[in-house]
Amino acid sequence: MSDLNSKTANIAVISRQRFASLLFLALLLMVPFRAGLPQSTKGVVLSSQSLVGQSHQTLDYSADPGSAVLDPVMAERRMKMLNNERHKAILSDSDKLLKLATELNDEIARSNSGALTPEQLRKVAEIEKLARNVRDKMTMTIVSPSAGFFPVNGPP
Amino acid sequence: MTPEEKRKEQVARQCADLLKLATDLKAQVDKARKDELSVSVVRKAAELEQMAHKVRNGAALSTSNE
Repeated sequence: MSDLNSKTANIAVISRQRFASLLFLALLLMVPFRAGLPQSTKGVVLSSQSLVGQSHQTLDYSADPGSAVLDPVMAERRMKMLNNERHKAILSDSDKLLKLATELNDEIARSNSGALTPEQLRKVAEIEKLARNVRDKMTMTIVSPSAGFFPVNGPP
Repeated sequence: MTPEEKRKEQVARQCADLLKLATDLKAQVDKARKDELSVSVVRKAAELEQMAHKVRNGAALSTSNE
């Protein structure tokens, strides 16, 4: 009986030792995962550092007059200026178009021939070119980033 | 009506159309705000471009027929 008890005690000791060794192995296996945690934390820190670096770079760019595009205020101003220029060009082109069309219509009304003279043909070609310019400029509307996206290609 | 008269009438009509389209386009451009895309301006300009192209082609064809 006592032999049996000692055997059971031995088995219990052995199983405890096995459990301890398994636990030790499991802890050993977990080391790399635990080692990974500080790395990822380090990565976050790095990325925040890079963000800080980026903002610092932006400040640097804004200090540089050649790269003022990156500064949002300057970009907004630049877009407004480009839009103004574009609008002025469209107005000017449409004025020229109306002038040319009026001249052409008067000339045709006065002439007795059904054929167009080379000068009249040049005016028609100029009207075609100006109309294309107006269309292209209107489809190239420049919108500030704060205003959101806008269709720039015009209707299909 | 002779072919010459027909041609003259056609050219006169096309030029009147050009003038009307140019007037409409000018009105649309005056109405449009500078920071927006005006679809009506784009359409009018495309119509005007097509009409001018047609007039030019018609003139070229009549010249080659003569």
